[in-house]
Amino acid sequence: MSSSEERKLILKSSDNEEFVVKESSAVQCLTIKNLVEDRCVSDPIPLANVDSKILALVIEFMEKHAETTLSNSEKKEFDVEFVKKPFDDLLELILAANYLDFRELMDVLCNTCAKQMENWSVEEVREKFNIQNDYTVEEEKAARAENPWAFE
Amino acid sequence: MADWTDLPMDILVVIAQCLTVIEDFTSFTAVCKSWQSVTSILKKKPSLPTRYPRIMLAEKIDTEDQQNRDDQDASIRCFLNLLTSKTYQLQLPEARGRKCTGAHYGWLWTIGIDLQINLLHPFSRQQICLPPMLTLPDQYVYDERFMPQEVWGVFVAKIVMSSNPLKDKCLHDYNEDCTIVAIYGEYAILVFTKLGDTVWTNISVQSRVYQDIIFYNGKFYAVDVHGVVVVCDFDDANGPKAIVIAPAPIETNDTYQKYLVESSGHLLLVARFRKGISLNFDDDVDDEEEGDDNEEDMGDVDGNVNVDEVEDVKDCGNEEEKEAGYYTTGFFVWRLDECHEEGSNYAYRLTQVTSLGDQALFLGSNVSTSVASSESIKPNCIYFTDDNYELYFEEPGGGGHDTGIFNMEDKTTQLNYAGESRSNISPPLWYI
Repeated sequence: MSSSEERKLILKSSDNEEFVVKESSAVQCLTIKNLVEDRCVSDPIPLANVDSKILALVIEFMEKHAETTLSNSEKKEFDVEFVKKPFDDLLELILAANYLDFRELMDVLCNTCAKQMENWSVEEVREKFNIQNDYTVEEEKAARAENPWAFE
Repeated sequence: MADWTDLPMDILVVIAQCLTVIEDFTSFTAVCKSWQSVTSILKKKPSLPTRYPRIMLAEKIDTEDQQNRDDQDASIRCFLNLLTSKTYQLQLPEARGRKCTGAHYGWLWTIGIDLQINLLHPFSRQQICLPPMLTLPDQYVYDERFMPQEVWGVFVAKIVMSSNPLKDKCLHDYNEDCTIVAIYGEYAILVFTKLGDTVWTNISVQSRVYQDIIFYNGKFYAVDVHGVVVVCDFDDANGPKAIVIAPAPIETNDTYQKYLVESSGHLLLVARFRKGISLNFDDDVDDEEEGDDNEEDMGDVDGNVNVDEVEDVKDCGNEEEKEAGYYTTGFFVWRLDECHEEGSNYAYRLTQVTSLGDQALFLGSNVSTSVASSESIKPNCIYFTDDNYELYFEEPGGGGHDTGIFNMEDKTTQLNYAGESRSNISPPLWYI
């Protein structure tokens, strides 16, 4: 009977690699869920903004969190290990989660970024996130005056 | 290759909302311009806790020039960093002329001549109204000396919350489960309310003169002037009441101020002893004066080793301190342990503690807190501020002098900051 058959979707990365996923897992991404509900699913679904390396990781997370047999604490344990990745990968994952509108992955990644920043000085944050300081000397002075807790 | 500065604004906002302390948030917004623009989207700074304790100094009141002082300057409150001794200024008109006391999670509570009691977050300047002073059940019998407008500075002694009053750090939704217990009134009894309630409700107590409250392991505990510890039971059919769980420690008496604090997972009872002319404690006091009973009690304590230590501490005090009406000379600490003895009347027993390990206690006009040692916080010390609010008026310039860092190991006290910051209403306090 068709109702007991798991519906599958094919997702295609920007570099043309195809991944088969269960529809029930994939609809955690609202972008995909909307396509399914509007019956606009093409075969495969092209994801122009996500390369294969990142898409594979997204699918790994997606399938883990769709597993009904896992408890919340088991999922949390998985998350802790999942986010132990190079910084640049985290950035790519965030952008992918945003593009796919995958709230749960987004929250885990954003929390990870916030945790990384714990206890870093402003200079350290700039260095580790590879961000250029675009304040002028004057502006930085004003920022320091406004945010007295930041520069201790 | 994507760059972190390419992050769309809505993702930056989500990351900013995951930050858990003020220090991280201000660092975040100071990184670069696009990160700073998050604050304009959030519209308000978040009401976050602070990572490190700071001292919130008293209001600067230029009594000579009150008429002409700039309104802006009068609203500035200074926060002092313990490590660098730098002070940082925040605009805080909401605290002007009001008594401020620490409420934990980065909040203060304030009370003023308008008799309103508010939670105030100095960083976000968010305020949450609690039921006003006149809704407290047991008011003074009205006479000239005790009109509410005269006594607001001493009517409410302490307020402790069961959790952060906000559900989510940024969204300003109130946490409806937040229960708030306070010590108030002529007899310093216990009362409670919940966020959103319009009145306070008494907690039935068998004693009076409570001195501290703490929320520990899901319950509120309080200690009275004798040192008896109670737990608050909100499930009793007859209404909320306090149940005695531990007897008063024998090494203390009513003249020592009591505190309750959680440290390293345990509940600690701390007694603070003071000396000074205002307390009739001085050795020179005539035996026939009021202090007589107290002298006897002191005699009991004399039998212990501790008196020598107290004497030593007194000698270490500076001359100015000894002139003061009151000054702190030391602390005792006990740990409450569950008592499984057959036939014991109490659920807990007290064991004296000589070391706090790597923790430091912060006591005063704040929710008693234990903090792990770090670059700016010494282990095994008690950081205290002047919370002897009933005697502030008797000190020249106001209270605020009785503050310092007590070392549990060698029983010495040192200053925690140079300079003077005094007030009759709201001297320096720990902002934690």
